[in-house]
Amino acid sequence: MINYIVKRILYAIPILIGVNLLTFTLFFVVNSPDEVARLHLGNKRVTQEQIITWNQERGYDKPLFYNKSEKGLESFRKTIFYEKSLKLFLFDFGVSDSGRDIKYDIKQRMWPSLAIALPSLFVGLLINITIALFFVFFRTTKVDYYGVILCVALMSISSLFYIIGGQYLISKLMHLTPISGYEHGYEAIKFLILPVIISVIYGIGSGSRWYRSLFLEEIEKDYVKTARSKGLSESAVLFNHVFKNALIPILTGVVVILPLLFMGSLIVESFFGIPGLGSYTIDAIQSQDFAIVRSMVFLGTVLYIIGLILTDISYTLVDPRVRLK
Amino acid sequence: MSKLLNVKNLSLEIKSSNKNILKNINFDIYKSEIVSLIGESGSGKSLTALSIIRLLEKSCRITDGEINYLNKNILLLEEKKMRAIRKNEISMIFQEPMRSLNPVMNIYDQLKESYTVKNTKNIKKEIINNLVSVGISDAERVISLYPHQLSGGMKQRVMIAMAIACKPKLLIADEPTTSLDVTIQKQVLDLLLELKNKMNMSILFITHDLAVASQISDKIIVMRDGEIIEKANTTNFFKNPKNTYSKSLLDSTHYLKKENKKETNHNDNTLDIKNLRVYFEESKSFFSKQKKFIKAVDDVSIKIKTGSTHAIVGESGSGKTTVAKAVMGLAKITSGSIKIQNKDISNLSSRETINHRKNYQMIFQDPFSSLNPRMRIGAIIKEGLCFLNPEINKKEMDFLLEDVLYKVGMTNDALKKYPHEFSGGQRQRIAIARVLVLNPKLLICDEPTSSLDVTVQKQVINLLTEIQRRSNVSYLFISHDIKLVSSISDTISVMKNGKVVESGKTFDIINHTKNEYTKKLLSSVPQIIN
Amino acid sequence: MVTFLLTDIFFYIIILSLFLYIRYVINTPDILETWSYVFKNKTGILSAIVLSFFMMIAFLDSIHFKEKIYNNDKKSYVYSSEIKSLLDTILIPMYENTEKSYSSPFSGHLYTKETIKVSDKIEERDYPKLLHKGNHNKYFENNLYNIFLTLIIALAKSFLISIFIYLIIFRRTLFKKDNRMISALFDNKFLFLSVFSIISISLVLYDLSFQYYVLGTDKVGVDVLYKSIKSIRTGILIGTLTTIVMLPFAVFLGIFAGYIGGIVDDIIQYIYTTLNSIPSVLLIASAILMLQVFMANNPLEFENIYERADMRLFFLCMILGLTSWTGLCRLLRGESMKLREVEYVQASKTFGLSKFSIIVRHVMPNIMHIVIITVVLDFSALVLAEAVLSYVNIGVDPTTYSWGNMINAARLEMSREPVVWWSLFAAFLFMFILVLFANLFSDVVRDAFDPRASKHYE
Repeated sequence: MINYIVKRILYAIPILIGVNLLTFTLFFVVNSPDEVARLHLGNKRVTQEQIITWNQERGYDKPLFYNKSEKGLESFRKTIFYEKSLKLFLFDFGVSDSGRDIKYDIKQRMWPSLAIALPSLFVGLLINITIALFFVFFRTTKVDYYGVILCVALMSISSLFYIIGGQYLISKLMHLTPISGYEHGYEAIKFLILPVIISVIYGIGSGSRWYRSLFLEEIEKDYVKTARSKGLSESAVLFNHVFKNALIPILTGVVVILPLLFMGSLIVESFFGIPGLGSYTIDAIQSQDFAIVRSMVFLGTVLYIIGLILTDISYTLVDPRVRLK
Repeated sequence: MSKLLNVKNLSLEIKSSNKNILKNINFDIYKSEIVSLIGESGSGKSLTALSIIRLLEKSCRITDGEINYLNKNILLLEEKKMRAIRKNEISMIFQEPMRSLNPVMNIYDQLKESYTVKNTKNIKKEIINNLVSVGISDAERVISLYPHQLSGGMKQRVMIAMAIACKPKLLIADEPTTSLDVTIQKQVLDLLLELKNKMNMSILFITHDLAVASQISDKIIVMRDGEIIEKANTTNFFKNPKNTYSKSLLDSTHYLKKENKKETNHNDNTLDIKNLRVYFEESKSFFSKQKKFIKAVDDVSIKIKTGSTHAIVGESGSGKTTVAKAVMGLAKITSGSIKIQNKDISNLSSRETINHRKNYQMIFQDPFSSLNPRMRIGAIIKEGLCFLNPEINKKEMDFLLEDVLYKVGMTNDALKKYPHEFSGGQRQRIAIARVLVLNPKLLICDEPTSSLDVTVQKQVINLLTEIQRRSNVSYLFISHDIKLVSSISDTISVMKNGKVVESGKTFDIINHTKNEYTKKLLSSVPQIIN
Repeated sequence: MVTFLLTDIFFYIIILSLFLYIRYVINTPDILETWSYVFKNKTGILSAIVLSFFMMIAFLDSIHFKEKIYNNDKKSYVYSSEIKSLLDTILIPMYENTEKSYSSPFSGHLYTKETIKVSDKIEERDYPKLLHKGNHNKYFENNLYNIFLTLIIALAKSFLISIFIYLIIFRRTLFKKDNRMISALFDNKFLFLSVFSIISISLVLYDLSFQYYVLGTDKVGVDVLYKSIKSIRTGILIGTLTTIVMLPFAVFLGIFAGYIGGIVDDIIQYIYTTLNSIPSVLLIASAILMLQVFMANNPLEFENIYERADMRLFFLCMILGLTSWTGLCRLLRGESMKLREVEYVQASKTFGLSKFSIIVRHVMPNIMHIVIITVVLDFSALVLAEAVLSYVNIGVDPTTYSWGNMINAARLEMSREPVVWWSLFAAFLFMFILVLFANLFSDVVRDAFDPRASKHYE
């Protein structure tokens, strides 16, 4: 087991290197730091000195790969590639373009993100599975037929409408919850209810339809017929046999996104003013703070890869057919 | 004897098309007798079985008739009572043991569901006894395993254990041995007979194989296109079938013994395989450098004289298909040599290979996957011709196509059609035409009939012998069916686990084999008992 | 003078390839049969018609030209710098008139009170009357009567047009070609009914918009209905152009990885796993941010804002395409690996066919269904993604008409008092219709092309 995990982590390294090189190319080679600086300083009538100082303040004044003015190892270490890209591997995210410590921000902001994402995920999972089982129970009837069409309709509405509509209806008209904002501690709950509800409702369409198709795929398999021929009741067949098998893809699908929950939801957080990593990212994108975007890309990748490893491990735990190699 | 089950005027249709697929089915099953339901694919035999246990797909609807179990019409029972019947009185075994067991539950949990009493201690003992009674000796170990850890035969035994757990009065077995090797098939059949006698139950046995039916059953029912066309006592049926279709079914199990040609003057070999080895590398581990090999073919030598048929017989996993693939260049040879018409095919340059390739060709097992569904028949047959004879002109091509279609017994209008418009037998003819058009000297037939119905099987075999008689082509015939092979081949190699255990003239091997494995194979083949 | 924007050319290519594909389908019986399943299905035919109607609007909106502006001497002229589309000339009642600011649907006055000079001396605060519409009724003074009569007349017109279409097109194809498959496709009352309803809905809207702002006006007084209709092109382009960009990558790399295997497979797998590991929003955001910097620093030679906005739309599609090919690539890789072992491919190998010809003859035709399912399935997701990206400011240019931009603006409008709801409503309605029918269509297409999935819907 440990052997396997170590191996999986080793496999992840080339991917992280690839991601790192890709982001480096995107952020420093496609556009030189000077050009980025010019954009930030407002394009027109920017003097060369202004650019140089802007770059100096943020450490972008070094050469990309090789620093001729330094000697030995230092000529590699005093470069943008080392300081801005390689250091990410040590989770040293550095300072944002506006001068804030990114690592500190991340530590502060990941908990509010998790506070929304985790309940949204699990409440959503519960509701979607229930609805899907309901559809499966009434399969080949009108209930299922129109239910699926309703799901497609729900899926066809942009998430933005759910948020704007929900905010308008529940907060502005009915005054049930605050429109936006956040407080730490237990006070947070009243700010979290609405975003969680909206995330769950938004997920119902695609989620329950997807689970329904997983259940139906299982229900047509031969072993279900065997189970029925044993004289088991329909609910026993559904829960002991179909559910158990369909749960495998559902469970592993959940595990893969678990680590990514820290990253939060971009839009929900920004609409509801939750100080999580999602709104952090959006703010960074909108203010073109590339240092933060770079860090978030790397962090997101690492979390995704962790999710993949956890998925593989969870497969071996729930599916007897899969053995670690 | 008293009547256990009575099926009366049963009719069934598919909801969407309103097409009757079962028409007026009538038959009885008495206590402790075995009734065989025989028919080719699409005859409705499985649907009949599923109607009895009421597990039909929702797309089917019973339109008429009664199914009386102990004088009670079970079609009228509410689902709850029907469930009780399934639990205690009628059980069923399905064709595919791999797919019929729940992959994520262990054997114990799955068997436990068949028992009504929920006393864990007793149940465990009972399950173990039950497994032992179906011939699983190390039942203690097996109950904690998962289905994928068992072999096909073991799985079917578990299925049987599950079915007899409730001591049913009626056991429905839907082609329970079709996906198993012959030796395993025999064991399972023997087991069913033994259990039937011990437990005094009746069995409705569904099969396409007349020989199997003749061995096991008391009564025979023949179905075709959703109708029963003959019902008879087993002995009477095999002595004197009344219906013409039953006769043709029975006929198709006998092949004309190949007329003993005069020892051919050609002494040259069309195919000469020497010490062939094909090893597959097992997916190597990341850390260990040690390579593991699966020896698919291990030191196999085969010679085929011009115009004769050599058969390779073996059970699944014996490596017989790999030999064919190696000859065709579809599997990489580890060592050894393959000479076709005295040319070693591994030494040829790519140009020479192309020139040589039209001399040896292959017919695949499954005519449904061996024809590209997106290509017209004309294009399919032309493909090899165009590539291997690029200089051919259109007129010659048209002539060749017409000629080859005539040879395989089809007409010209097939050329513009697509594969899905043809039946399995017709598709196999097209597959034969595709290679025949190249006029090969050696044809490798990889189980060319095993996915076809028996009557069609015979037609295809006849076609192949006819072609050989006319064009003096040599066959390398690969099959699991030693009975079939014995009637059409001149020489035989019996393979097991990648090795040839015995080879020689067909007559000698069939009649005077000394090898234990061949004996076992031969004795396992079901024969029609007259 | 006809001008071609970059995206126009690509859109023409898409339409052209669509026609080529239709021709290919008609000539290939088994694929035609699969598609005829789609068109015999009521949901399928309805959504196909709605989608092609949207496509048609997008096409009309993709034929651009510059108008001649005559000088005073009425002979010499210059071309206007403004680029108009064919759709604009059709939508003239909506295109030409603008008001001062917000006005609600069917209203005759602005949404907010202003100080109006009644005469030289008297001023009062009231809702100013609209300049062009809302109180210029054609038939009745009374709004309700007037709307009702306009509606009836529009319906009558569309009825006549539909009968005309039915007689000319449907009947003729029926009689001319004795193709049973094609006539079966069109021998469908439901088809005719849905064409009729689309024609009548659009005619009603069109006739009404001569006299009213059916969906109100926005902050600078532009007809919201006009904006929503113009956004169709943006939505459709993002949904289709993106797929066109990614298809070659996905198809070729997927097939090569799956069919050839070995080191090629390893490299391609590495590339798509790496790209796939980056959360897609972040990857798209980074690429677009970098594009913004690039465009800011390298002012390419744009004649005007239209071309600049168009360029940005084009790059957006490119970036979305380059970041979204991995999923399809993985699917195709798996399928090609399976096909490699299928007997008809093995049979071709025994003929000695080269890898390339096997791929072209056997692999490609047998993976096309996956490509089609993915293209149709991705379409709706991309239309939805546009809105989100525009909200984050990394979508289309703010001057481009798009539902995303409309929603973005609506965020402020919704917090006004009293609330301005019609922009959001319009964007919602149009987007919902397009995405809903795209989703329904993709469901039917998937059922037709993937028989395994179809069982669930019977």
